[in-house]
Amino acid sequence: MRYRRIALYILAVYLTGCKAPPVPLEVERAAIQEQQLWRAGASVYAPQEYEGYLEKIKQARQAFAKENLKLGWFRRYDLLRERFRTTIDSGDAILSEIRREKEERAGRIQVETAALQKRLSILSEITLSLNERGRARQRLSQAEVMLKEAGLMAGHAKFDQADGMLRSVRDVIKEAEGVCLRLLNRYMDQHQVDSWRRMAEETVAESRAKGITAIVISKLEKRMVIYKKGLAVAEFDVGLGFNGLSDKLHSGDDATPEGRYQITKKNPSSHFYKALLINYPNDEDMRRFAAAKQKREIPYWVGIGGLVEIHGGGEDSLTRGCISVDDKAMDELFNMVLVGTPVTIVGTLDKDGSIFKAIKDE
Amino acid sequence: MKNFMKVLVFGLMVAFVFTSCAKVPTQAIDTAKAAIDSVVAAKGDIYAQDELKKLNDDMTAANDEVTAQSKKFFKKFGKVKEMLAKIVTDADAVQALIPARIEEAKNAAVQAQTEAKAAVDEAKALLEKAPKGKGTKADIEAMKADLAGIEASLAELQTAIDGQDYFGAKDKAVVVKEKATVICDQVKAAIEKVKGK
Repeated sequence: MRYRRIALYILAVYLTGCKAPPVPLEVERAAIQEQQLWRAGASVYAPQEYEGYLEKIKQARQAFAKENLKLGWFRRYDLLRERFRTTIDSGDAILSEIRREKEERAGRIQVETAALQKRLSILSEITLSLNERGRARQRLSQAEVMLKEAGLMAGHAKFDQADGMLRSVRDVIKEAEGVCLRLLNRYMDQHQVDSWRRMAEETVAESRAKGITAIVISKLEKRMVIYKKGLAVAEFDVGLGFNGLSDKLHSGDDATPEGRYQITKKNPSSHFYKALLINYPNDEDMRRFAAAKQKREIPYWVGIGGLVEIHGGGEDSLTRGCISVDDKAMDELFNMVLVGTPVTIVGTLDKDGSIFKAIKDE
Repeated sequence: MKNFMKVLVFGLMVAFVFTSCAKVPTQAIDTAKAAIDSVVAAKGDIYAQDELKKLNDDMTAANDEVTAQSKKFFKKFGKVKEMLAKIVTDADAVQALIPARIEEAKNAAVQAQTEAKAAVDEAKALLEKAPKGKGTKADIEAMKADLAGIEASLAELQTAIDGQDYFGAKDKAVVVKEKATVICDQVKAAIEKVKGK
């Protein structure tokens, strides 16, 4: 009787516990996949598909729980395994879709970042050539930091934030462009450009008519051309004042004057190698200065300034308003000119406005 | 008749027991929801994303169980109550984790800010003593303007820290430091250029 009881007990244990089939691997895989999908941002990138997936996985789990209520001997996981497998397949499809979407967005951001980086480089070059070392340059520097931040955001798959940052970068770049364009406002005025071109042509004509040497300096192009009897005989790169693109109005404005001048003194041992003094302020400069004072555009204690020279020291250095050239060029120039040689300084001779096109990205 | 009454009373008692003990645990559900909301309010969605996801999943499972039980004639909410109680305990534990994580993120951001500031200060100091001679003056002035732009970014970094955007602040600090280091290298190169002449 006792042995019968033991046998029944063993049989019961065998039937209820020991013979339960192993839990399908797909159940665990589905749990891991669900986490992966959530981490990948499925609710953002594929909301409808993800919702469907969650419903499927929920139903599969309910069925699994129901199956587990049965005695181990009677549990059947074959159908459930298939159900989980189908769910996992749909999850894999969503993951692929998310990866594709992310790659696409990352690629788009990368392309835009590269384009903005190129634009920053162009504008950076322009600010250097315009001697703009103020707000525009600062904003470009800030834009560069922001652009890199956008790259980091995209790297963390924060695409919306990255897009927002790129929008801000565009705004900051626009601001820098605005500063550059304001600086060049006068240079966009066709009448002004025509007037400068006329001044240069008159200087060349004078050189031809009188058989003398004359100098024409174009500020925007940072170029000096030496004419002899009306023919260009030499060309040099020049440096300008910190605020060189503006027309000099008063002392301390760091601007380089525009107009028709003459060499008044040749200094063979200047602080800046050799120097040629010009007659700034001329009559026109004095008239403008007086008018500006009358309109109180200049404080009463500020003078008109003077001692504007063409000197050595290097064309890539910045001046307080003078025109600088390389020492080697200065040697050549010094030997070519005399006291009384006409010097005409103009804003630009470029009637096509190529620099504006570059700023405006046309 | 007497037996019939006994059965009726017993039946009513059974019905009373099942119906009175099987009410949806509304209060427990609300408490669990409030516990999860507290985690979100404590910035769990930023600093404890995985844990918050688990809490939400558990809450969904509890709600599913409530729905399943509600459809049954003999409702049993004991398991649901256990689930909800666990959610509250877990939520409290998660909430307790968050301050340390915020502190960690803050420290990392402040550390990155300090490094960025040090790099900017170094660039500034170098620019101050950089030779403004032939061939370097324009470069130095351009670098000064660039550094001024970076200093503005440094100020934005402080704003991000003040706004408790520690991850964003750290990213910004890393970029600022990188850019300041580039300027330092450029100034050093300019100094070398002058020395070489």
